[in-house]
Amino acid sequence: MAPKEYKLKTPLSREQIDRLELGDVVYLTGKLFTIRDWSHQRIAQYWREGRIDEVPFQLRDLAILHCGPIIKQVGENHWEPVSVGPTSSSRFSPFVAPLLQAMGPRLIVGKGTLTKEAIKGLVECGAAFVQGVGGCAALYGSKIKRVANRYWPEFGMPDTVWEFDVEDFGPLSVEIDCRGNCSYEKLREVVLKNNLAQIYEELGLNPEADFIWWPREPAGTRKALKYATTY
Amino acid sequence: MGTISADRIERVAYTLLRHASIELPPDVENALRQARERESNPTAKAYFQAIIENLEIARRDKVPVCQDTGVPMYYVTMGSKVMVEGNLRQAFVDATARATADTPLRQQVTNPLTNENPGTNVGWQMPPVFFDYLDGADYIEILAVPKGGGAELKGSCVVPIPGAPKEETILKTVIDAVAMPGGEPCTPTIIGVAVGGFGLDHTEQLARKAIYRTPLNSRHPDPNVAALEDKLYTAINKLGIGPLGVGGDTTCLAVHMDIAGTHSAVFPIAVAFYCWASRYSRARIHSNGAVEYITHPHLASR
Repeated sequence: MAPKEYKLKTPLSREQIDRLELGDVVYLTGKLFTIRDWSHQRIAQYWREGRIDEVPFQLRDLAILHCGPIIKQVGENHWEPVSVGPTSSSRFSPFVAPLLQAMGPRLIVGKGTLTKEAIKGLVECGAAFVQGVGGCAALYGSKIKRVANRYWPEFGMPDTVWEFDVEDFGPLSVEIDCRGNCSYEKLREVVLKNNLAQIYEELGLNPEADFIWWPREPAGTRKALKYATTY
Repeated sequence: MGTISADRIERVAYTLLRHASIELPPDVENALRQARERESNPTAKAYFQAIIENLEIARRDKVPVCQDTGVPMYYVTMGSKVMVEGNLRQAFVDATARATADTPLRQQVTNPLTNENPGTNVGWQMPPVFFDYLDGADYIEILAVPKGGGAELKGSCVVPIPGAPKEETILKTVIDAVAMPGGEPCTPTIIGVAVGGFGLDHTEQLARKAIYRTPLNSRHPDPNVAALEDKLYTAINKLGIGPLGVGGDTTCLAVHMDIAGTHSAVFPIAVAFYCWASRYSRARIHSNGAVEYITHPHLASR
């Protein structure tokens, strides 16, 4: 089925998110909030501590962007976007379900894969994950009409929660739908099972070969001391 | 013996760092345009289209190509026929702080224990400046690299078992090192490989520096090394990871390999990445004070 293009406007409905399939392209208009390492942690902490109402902004049915932007302050409460692109999402995986449960956004804009645990959160809360083209921060920055507000500035510029009014923010490609279908898993199958096997064969490489002496397992991991018996 | 002032070095380093964040080296941009032309996967082609548009907007509006303007670092080659007057190390600190404020760059160099962020990208031994020395040269060459975290952290260095078959080990190690992170280093990447050297930081440094070889995709002069570069370049693009891991024909823009003498029993192998937004800019300050902007010649008109 040919991928479809959607122009979505916040607030986003369950029906709109249900329609999104892997490979579809989205252009977003409306409210988009940046959430990054420290804001994910604080939201999860407030949720745990039963004080989610102390979060000074709303995300229900809106969209979030995994991003640490470059923003220029031009006046007292006046900011301009300089460079705004998606950051890698995988490190936020443990915080996805808590964020969705606590604050109810419908769309996560990020980059790269999420864990199975995070995907389960998307399915349970009826949200989808779209990928921005990583590195295209000038292009996406140009789709931000206004920096409406900022929250938790004590985190520093990259980790502050920035509230954007966006218009035709895109292209964003649907990579994890609200049914749990994940394009990264599908591609990993193809790359690691088909393509890599073929490459090994053409170069005469043994896929089972273990040529590496050191490091065996990196220090600081569960298996780090597995090889301690060698001394 | 010519004398170059630290002031002049500061101004050149500032210009290079600032500009490197805004415009890619021309051969990197060309490689991305060519990747767009020959791409057969429609989604990947749309991704390359967005990438090219992004480069054009960044150049037009003079804003950073990517919001992760990285931890600024410099590679400096000092010619033996040149002397510096003034505080050389401080010149790079000042250039970094100034470029951070003016471009602006993202303020992200922090204390690793306390998270204190002075907002200048300097402090606690930063920026890293890697000095080398070139006998007989009458210039100082500066390479500014605003390298983001995404690609940098996917690099690795391993030590093979003594006696392991060299070619198989090198090929499998590098191909596996690229297959593992998929699209996360923001493919298509420039891949630097180093075999040999000693002290793992030495091997890793050689792999990193290989990335910045010009022209992009040129071969190492040693035919043994060039043959491995060819095999790796072809194999890696057959992985089919494509731009940002959506699948496609181009997974790497180039593979540059370097070798150095090593301990006879072991040969370390390092793999380093730079994302598709491979940002760097090089200039030479000649002993008569003339500045030659090598990567971005149009900077000379400033």
